[in-house]
Amino acid sequence: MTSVLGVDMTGVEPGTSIIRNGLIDSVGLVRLAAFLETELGIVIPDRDVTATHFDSLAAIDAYVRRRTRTPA
Amino acid sequence: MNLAEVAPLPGSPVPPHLLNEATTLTGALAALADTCPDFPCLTILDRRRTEQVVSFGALWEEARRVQSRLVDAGAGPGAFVVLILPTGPALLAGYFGAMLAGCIPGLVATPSNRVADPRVYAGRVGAILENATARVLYTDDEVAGLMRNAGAPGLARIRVLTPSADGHADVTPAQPAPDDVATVQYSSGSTGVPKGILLTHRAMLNNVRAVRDGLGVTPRDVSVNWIPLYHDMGLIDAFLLPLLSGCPTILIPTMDFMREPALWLRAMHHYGGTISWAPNFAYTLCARRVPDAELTGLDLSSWRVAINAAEPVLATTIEDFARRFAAHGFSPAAMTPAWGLAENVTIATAHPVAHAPTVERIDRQALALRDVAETGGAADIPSVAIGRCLPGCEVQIRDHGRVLPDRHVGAVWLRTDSLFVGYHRDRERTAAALQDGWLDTGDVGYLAGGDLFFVSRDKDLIVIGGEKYAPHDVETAINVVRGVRSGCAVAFGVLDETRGTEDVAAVVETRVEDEAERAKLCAAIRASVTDTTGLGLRHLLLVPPGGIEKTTSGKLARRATRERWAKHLPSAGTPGA
Repeated sequence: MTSVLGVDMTGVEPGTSIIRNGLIDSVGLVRLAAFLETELGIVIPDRDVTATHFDSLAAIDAYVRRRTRTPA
Repeated sequence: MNLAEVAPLPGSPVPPHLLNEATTLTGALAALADTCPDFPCLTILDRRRTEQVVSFGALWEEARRVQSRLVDAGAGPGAFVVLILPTGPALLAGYFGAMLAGCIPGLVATPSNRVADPRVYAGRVGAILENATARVLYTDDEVAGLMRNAGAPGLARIRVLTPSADGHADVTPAQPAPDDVATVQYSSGSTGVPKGILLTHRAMLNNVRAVRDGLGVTPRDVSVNWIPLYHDMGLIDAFLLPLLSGCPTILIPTMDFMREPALWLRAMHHYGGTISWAPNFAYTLCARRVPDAELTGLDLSSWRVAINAAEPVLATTIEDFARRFAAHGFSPAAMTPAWGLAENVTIATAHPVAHAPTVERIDRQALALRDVAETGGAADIPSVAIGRCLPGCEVQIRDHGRVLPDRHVGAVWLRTDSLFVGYHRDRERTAAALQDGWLDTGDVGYLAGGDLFFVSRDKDLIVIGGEKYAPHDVETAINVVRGVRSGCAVAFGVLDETRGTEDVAAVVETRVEDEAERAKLCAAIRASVTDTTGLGLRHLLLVPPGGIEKTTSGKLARRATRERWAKHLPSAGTPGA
């Protein structure tokens, strides 16, 4: 993920808020979603690209698991 | 549809004199629909490779239908209509439809800044609706629902319309006069509610013609853009300029570019794009973040003009983009730094199009100590020329009313025939900005041999990705956090060269000394800022009481505070940093 965002993510804890800490901005957020779509073969609707689902590694993990189970 | 293939569009049948003779935007579209109704002037391309093609005639018909629906909804001459829609045929027809109804359209951002609380978005839109005393909000179900759920005050008095196939073309269109207000452009100011910049048909057409002539735009150009239409560069330069000039006009919804930046480049290749507009960060994004695999076979040799405007242009960005895309046929001369502001409709200066950007290196000490830009000396700050005056534009560098000579740094003032007529319902701010026909742009820079160079902003604004944010909003979010000395927080932008745009920084006074408590305080401050504004606080500095600089009248001195704590903040090698 470091190369996608261009930010050093090593040492970032699962619960660390990446948006609040300015590690990722709204552009980075969208690119992260695009990256996950391509890499994991899931569909992420525009309206889901929010802090709720993407503000920490833990949140991203949970969201991706849900999308993988329910592809609709 | 395969973007790897090159599919040149049909040649434009539009006679150039149409734009020369136009006196209103609606009159211009009427003439185009009359003369070339079937020309497929507009193509909206999304990331699924779906194309929606719209002809002049179809755009006109759709606009007439929207006109009738607005009139039926009680929006009469002079009424404000706020449009919130992603780039697409509905937004474009809605924009013209509002003008045909005699209304004043204002385009506002969709909730693409999705990081913020929907209630905060609704509050901001509500404030705009109230300032405009808007009669109609023309939007989609998502935003309409969001506004209703948030219980936005004042919404009950406003008719909310969503695009539909309804409407008829029987109502006589309004015939505005050239000096009637055609559009209200919203631009973030130094406080929360965006300013409503009033632009007449005359001013907008004058700017479109000045840009056309300055860049040498002809109907043989092909315009490809992804910038949002609620941004002045989007509405006028990505849409009205090519449309009224008779160029094939390709538009990519902004979110689709964000999700796949290579889509922009592939579209330039596919359509043989010759002109495109983007803020600096987008060129850095493409240079550094698009994988080689997405560029296979890409040919950008048709790209004649790559405008870089709406935020500071960085030398590193210019170099990175040229280096990366040279192998794909991109000519360094195509990169065209430009400068302007919404109060001038759009740009007022542009670098000569057939020439690669001019980057000089100036001495930091001379700049800091004597406000002069000297090449030579340590030559340690790169300074990018952001253009020469377009036809009909004049620039002056002033210090307290005195016009300064070349290479002296001062306030940038502008006189053109495309200036705004005022801020809506804000006579005081208008009077402060417009004096004797000259506009105080709020930017600081210098002239050298006809080239304008940007140094910094006088107005305290944060510009990220070409969009403006008010430091006041960030500071308000910080001040409500317990542990922060109330009123003692300043926010400002700090350049991040790796992204080619700014990060948000804040300096905050607190008496809290315990390390663990300070860590909690930082987290609380960050949460408040992100939840309220959608912005992430990249740099946060806690300082003891007295750490924030104030003016003699007790107001926050953002620049002075930033300079005081500069050693603790990243510094960028550009003027004004």
